[in-house]
Amino acid sequence: MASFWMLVVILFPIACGCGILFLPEKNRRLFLGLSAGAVFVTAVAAWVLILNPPSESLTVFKFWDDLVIEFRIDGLSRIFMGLISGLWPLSVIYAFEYMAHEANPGTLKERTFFGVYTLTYGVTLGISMAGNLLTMYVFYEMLTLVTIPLVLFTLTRAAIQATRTYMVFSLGGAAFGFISLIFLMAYGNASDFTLGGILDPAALGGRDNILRFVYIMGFMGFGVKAAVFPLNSWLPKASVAPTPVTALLHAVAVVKSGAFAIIRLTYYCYGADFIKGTFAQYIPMGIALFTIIYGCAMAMKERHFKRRLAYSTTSNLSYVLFAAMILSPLGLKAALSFMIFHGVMKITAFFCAGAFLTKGSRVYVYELNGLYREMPVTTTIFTISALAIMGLPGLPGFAGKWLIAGAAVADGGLMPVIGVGVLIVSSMLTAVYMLQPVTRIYFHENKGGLKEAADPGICMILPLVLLTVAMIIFGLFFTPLTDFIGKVAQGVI
Amino acid sequence: MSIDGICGFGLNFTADGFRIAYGTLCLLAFLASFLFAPRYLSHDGHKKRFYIFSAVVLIATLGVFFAADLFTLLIFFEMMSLTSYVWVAHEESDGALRAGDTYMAVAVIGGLFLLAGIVLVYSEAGTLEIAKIREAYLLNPSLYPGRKFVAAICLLVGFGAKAGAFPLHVWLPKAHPVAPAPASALLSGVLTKTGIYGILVTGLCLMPGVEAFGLILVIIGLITMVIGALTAIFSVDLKKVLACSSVSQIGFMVTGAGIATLLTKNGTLFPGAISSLSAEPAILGTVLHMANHTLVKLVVFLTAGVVYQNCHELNLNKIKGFGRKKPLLALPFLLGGMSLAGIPGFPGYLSKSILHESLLEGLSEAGLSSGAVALSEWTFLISGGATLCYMAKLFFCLFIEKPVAGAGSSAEATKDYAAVTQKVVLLVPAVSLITAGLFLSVKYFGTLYEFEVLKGGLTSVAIGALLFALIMLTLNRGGEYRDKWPKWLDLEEKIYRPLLLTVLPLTIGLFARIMDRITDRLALLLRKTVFRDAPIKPERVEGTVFTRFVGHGMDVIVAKLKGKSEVEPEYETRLALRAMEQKENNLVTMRSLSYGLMLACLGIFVMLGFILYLVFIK
Repeated sequence: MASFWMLVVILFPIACGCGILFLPEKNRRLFLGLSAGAVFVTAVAAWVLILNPPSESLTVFKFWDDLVIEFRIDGLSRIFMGLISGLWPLSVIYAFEYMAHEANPGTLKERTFFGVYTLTYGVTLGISMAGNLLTMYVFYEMLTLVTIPLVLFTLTRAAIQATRTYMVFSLGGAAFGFISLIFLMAYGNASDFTLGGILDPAALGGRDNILRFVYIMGFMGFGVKAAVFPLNSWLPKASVAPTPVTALLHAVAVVKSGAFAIIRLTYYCYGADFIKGTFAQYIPMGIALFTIIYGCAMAMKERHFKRRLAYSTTSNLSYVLFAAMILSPLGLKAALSFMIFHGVMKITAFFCAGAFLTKGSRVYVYELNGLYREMPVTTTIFTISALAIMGLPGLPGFAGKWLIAGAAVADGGLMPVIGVGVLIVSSMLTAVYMLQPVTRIYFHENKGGLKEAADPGICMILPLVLLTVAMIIFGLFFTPLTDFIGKVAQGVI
Repeated sequence: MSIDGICGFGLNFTADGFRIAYGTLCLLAFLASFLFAPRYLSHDGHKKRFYIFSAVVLIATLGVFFAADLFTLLIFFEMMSLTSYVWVAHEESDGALRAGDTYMAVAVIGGLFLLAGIVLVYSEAGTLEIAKIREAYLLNPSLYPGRKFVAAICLLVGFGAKAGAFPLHVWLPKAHPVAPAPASALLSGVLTKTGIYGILVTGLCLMPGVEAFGLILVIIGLITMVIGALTAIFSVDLKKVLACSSVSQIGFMVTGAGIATLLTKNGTLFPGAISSLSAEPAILGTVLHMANHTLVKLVVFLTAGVVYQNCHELNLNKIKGFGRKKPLLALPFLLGGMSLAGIPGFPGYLSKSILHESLLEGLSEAGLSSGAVALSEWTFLISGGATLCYMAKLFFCLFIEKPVAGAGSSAEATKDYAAVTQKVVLLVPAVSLITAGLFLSVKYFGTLYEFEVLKGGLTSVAIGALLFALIMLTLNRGGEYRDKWPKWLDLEEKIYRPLLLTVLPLTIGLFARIMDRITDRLALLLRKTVFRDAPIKPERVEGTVFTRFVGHGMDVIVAKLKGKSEVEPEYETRLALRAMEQKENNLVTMRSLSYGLMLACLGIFVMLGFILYLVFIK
């Protein structure tokens, strides 16, 4: 494919999103159609790009010398693009039915939602295809800004507070990321992402440890979106947003952009060898391990169902970061595999939570008692996703955890091996907080006093069923995918 | 046989001597339960769920036994653990759900330890195929010698949790009484055996001949058998006695696995272990005891099921005398109980004798002092005697004592107390027990009925008889069964639940809460200190300095002119009002679009002038 198509897939959804926002059109069907059309066309185009990536890069704008806005598709881009391009169309279909409940159909509020939702797709694609750190940084900041209306959506007090936290954390984090960017410009010898790092040893001149310190700053900065402790409190708060947002953005697109950015920074900018075996590896890894346990513990305590899932996301994202910080091709492979598997599992769980919320007004875990009688399909799907997140063999969560544990043990260092222990403990806690709703759904009696519930309509069920099928296929036959990711991690693709 | 590509490694199965034998036994036990269940569950609302999940458990259990590698084993093991939860929670009563929670917790914790162990084995040995692990370890001398041991301990915790070995035996006495009888029979008879099988695999394939590991197993086994026996003697709930008895028998098997580990040098568990005595006797004893226990527990739990489907009660004081004049119920129970108690002629005698002899040999070979060996031996014998004691107690209570007036008497009168299939299902395993026992006794009469060997078994029986007499005369005096086991002596209630449900959540929760707020609080602190808003100066609303000064001056002049001594702030007020009006007008003007345009125009004019100046004048 010609390289300009990259710009097209980024700009097309952005243009359509702006169109939905600003065109004076009141017809609900039209803007829903426009939104779905834009997302589907973009997704198809993106998949064509993933399968036939253009070999050369595309420079869009030149500030100065090396300082360019540039797009390029490498193996890592293809993985992340594949993840979001697979999930975005499903989420839009889900949103059709869901948003009719959340806002009055056809209102400006709903239009804003669909506009921004479409627009965000383009921005996220921009992050995935960014060819250098500057481009990624620009799109990363844009992602923060465009998702603000989505978090703010309900305009309740909680939503306003969540948005404020989100803004403060994200913008503050971006500042740290910026410091990293500047240092990389000063001490790097090429601007493009290169597996193995772009640092110029000659330019460094013994300032290794300062650079490593700056790396940690960058890790924390981009870690805001990946919800590493102590910068994670925006994520559970943000679960006030409508479910399509929490499901797609706060379980996949936004938070995985954070993890993606950290992987870019670690493997493609500083280089794994530069960091490995130093404090710059151990501190972030320690933070990730702490976040794993912390997220699980908070999820266990949490009774609000969506917030519990959000804490679970916090914990699971740190699985990705922990695997990435092993700093070996195996670790990178495990991180990327878990990123994809977690995306599919968690979005399913969130979609189910959304269905419980809209079709039965079940907000808290203890309100799920006996729900399987009323919502048999949704609860079955939720059970599968819960078992997957727990890591039951035969489902993708197990595959991901297996790869992470394997990479950690293969590395053989003390900290990765401790990490395996942490993984085990966290799996145990995960089992507690995910099985609790499941047992309530099936074995506890509904004592009454709750609204009647029913399975949702086709627009919500269809994405759920497709995701479940995907989960089972990934769980049983994950080898082709993980082999591909393994090649990416080794730099073959 | 293998199915490639599933879950990355593919599923691999193999069938050899032990696997075929135990797989068949497992299949038969499930069949017996399925035949027994329809009558038992005839008034149950969740029949369909029970059958579906039982079928899945069957597949999973067979998968565990036939798995050729640990990965396949793990997959089926997890499947079995989770699906069998449905059995425990079947009744959906509070007690059942609580027992279900315990069961699930132990299963999940065990499963994760198993996973950890398997990951460690894989990283070291590079293979998970059960038959090759030993060689693989021999080929790559480990860089980290401790790791193999850690892996073995992880596997032990995982399998031990399922088997019901101390200290993770807590789920057994809770789960068995609440599960439906056909399910309890399988939980106790078959599912726990997957754990024992796993422990055998760990001991024989991973740690053959490692003394420390063997001794750990023996110690765990001895503790388990004593605890099980004690609680069984004291319990007054029929199924709870049987469950505790399972714990005790599991202790025998774990001990056997420990001795097998101590004595085995070449780890040939699987081919031909059943068919000949040429394999390590300890392995044979353990496997024989497993098979014996499966059949016995099938019989006695199903008998309990018959009792429950008639009386809807399991308390010994209420059901006593139920079995009087029901020979078809008494015979299987008697045969089962005798085999479990190790009466000569039954398989139980053979397995316990082999284990007893191996225990002496193994411990002395491990270099233990004679005192320690004697202590272990007596623990073993007394626990064996206790088996006789509690089985005799149950038999005496159910089949000999006179029923109490009321519930029991009506139960005794019932003619149609069980379906024909149920009676057959009870009788067949019981008869096969005695047949197998006699067959093996005749075949190995020379070795297993020597005086030295017989002495151990008879000592045990004698201890049992004495114990029985003792408890009937003291604890259960006057035909009333009392539970004198101190209630507070409960690992689960006193340690596990408080630890997992109160202490840990509290500490973690407190910690997490503090940590959760820390960034927000930091931001707030900064907001209140360094980045606080600039203070708003208090304003005088009326007028400005100018209006006050001028107005006041004018008021003074007016007062002077009028000759008044008092100055009235008339002009001051008026000017202040004017000023406010002006201010508001200005505000309106400045906010208006035209004002903005005017300013823009002005700017453009200035620019224009500047350009003209540049072009023409300079």
